[in-house]
Amino acid sequence: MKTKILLLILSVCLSSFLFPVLSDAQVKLTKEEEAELSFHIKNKIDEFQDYLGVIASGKTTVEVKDRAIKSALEMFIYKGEPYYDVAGIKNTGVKMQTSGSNGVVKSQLMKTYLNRLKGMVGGRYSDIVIEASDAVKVGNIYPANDGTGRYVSTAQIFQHFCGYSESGYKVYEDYTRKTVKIYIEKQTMMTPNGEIATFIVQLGDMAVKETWH
Amino acid sequence: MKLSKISFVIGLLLLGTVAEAQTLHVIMFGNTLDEKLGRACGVCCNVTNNELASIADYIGYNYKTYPYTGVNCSNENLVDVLATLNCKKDDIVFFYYSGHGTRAVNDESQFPQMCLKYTYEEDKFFPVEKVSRLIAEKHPRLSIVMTDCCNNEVSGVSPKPASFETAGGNTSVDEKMMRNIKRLFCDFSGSITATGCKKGQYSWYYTLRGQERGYFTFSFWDALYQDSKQDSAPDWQSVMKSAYDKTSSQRFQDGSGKTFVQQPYYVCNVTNVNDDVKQPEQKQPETQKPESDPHSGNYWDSLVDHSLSMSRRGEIADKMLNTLFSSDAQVQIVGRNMTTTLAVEDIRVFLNRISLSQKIRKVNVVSQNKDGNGKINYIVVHEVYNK
Repeated sequence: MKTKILLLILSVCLSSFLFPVLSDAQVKLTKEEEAELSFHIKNKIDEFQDYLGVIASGKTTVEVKDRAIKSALEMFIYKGEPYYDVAGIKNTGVKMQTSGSNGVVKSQLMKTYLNRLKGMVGGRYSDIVIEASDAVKVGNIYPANDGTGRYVSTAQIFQHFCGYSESGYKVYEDYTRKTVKIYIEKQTMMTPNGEIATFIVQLGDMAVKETWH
Repeated sequence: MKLSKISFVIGLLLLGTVAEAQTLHVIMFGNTLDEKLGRACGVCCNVTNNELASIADYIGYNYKTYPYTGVNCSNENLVDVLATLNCKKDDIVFFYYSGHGTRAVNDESQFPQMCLKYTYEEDKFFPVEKVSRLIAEKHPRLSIVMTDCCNNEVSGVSPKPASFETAGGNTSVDEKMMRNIKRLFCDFSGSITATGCKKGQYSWYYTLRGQERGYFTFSFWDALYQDSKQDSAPDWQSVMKSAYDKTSSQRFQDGSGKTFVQQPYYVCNVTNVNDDVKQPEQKQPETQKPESDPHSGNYWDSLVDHSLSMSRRGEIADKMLNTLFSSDAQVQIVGRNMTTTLAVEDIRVFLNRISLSQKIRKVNVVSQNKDGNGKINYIVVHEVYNK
């Protein structure tokens, strides 16, 4: 009898512990929340694209470039550092895909990519301009259902990369369509003004979908 | 020929006036300690303060606030601030009150009396119309008196609105919107007095999905922004009409299911200054924004001053970090409705991001908390972006 009662208590405790996680993972966002999040995601991606422009430019100082790299990495899950995914598998960190003039797509750590981008001016190019299109498309936002309670989405972005020689001539140019994985986590936290709820939006891997030269 | 000379002189006079730094005075009273309405009043005051701080930036005016919330929302402070208010002739005065309102049976005015203090003492109530008159005596170019309060007694009811458009994101403005807002605030002179409802009606405050709102206040700001997005130049009559339509199109229910309407009441007595004085042929120069000076303590303006290099803005961010904030300070970024939290960031991350941003034109501080050393350890802000 005692064992039965203990099991009952244990199952009640477990279900009350698990229930919020499971239900949280399945809660569909309202249209209003989705619209606000899409707007927020677009802003975030715009901000990242702006950082790329700052990091690549021949007109910004190394100190500003370093600040921009730091700020850019803050936007990614685990700040671009290695992490263990929900299955316990080690991930070396967020990746960025790029495509070269030969059309070959390469994947590298975001951290590595940003630092390489910083050093590109002064080498092959004397200046680089990276322009982003306003046409950021945010896909549906849906529950990840991976036990984390978070939501995921994918956004599509367009980049225009131009490399200039010392004499000011454009020596390289490409247009790329990329996708960005988006992670959204609903969090509640205590503040001096009481409890607040917010969505934490973070960026993930970026993949090349198409390149035009 | 003679006429063109006169126009030129008038133009020069206008130019001289425009170049002088004018001020947008914002006098704000909020009954934030009221048990029933307090939270919503706080939100409405924050929303109005945030919108006006942004507008001051768009129109190139200095921004001066006289906030009286909590225990400071009193008749004595109202009398005092209106007596000591000092206006120059091109200044704008915006008076805002959020809280309980009422009227006497034999009141002749269409406008209510503000209850002001949360411990209600009838003799301390203050008529809205008197506020308009006292501000007019200071001769600002434009005065707007806006109150979101009942025009009748109300008790024991809780509002249940059908729907409401939210503004939970950042503010995003483009040139056209700024030009139209500037037209509203800089091209008109006179006074507008508006209150949330006609006599005998209630002004509704409510909570929707945990977010507090005042219906008239939110409708007014929605109307102003929607009108300023249009291609045609807006005027105050159309803005007030839109705010009226938005508010009065909704139906409210109390706990017993009884339905109510809320129809704002306003008197809009403004004229377009350009209709009185024909402008000279030359294009009127843009109003000069007061130059930001990092050494004067005006750090926030300097941090988003795009005329400064990113290196300089980075130095300002470091200086702010070292002088104003505790090292573990947190920043809560809220949407236009002042209740949706868009993000919470560490102060270092936040300042670094703002100093590098090419799109953020203003950071409005909503509230801040300080530690025992006088350093800010928690700050709530709203970001205004260029589209």
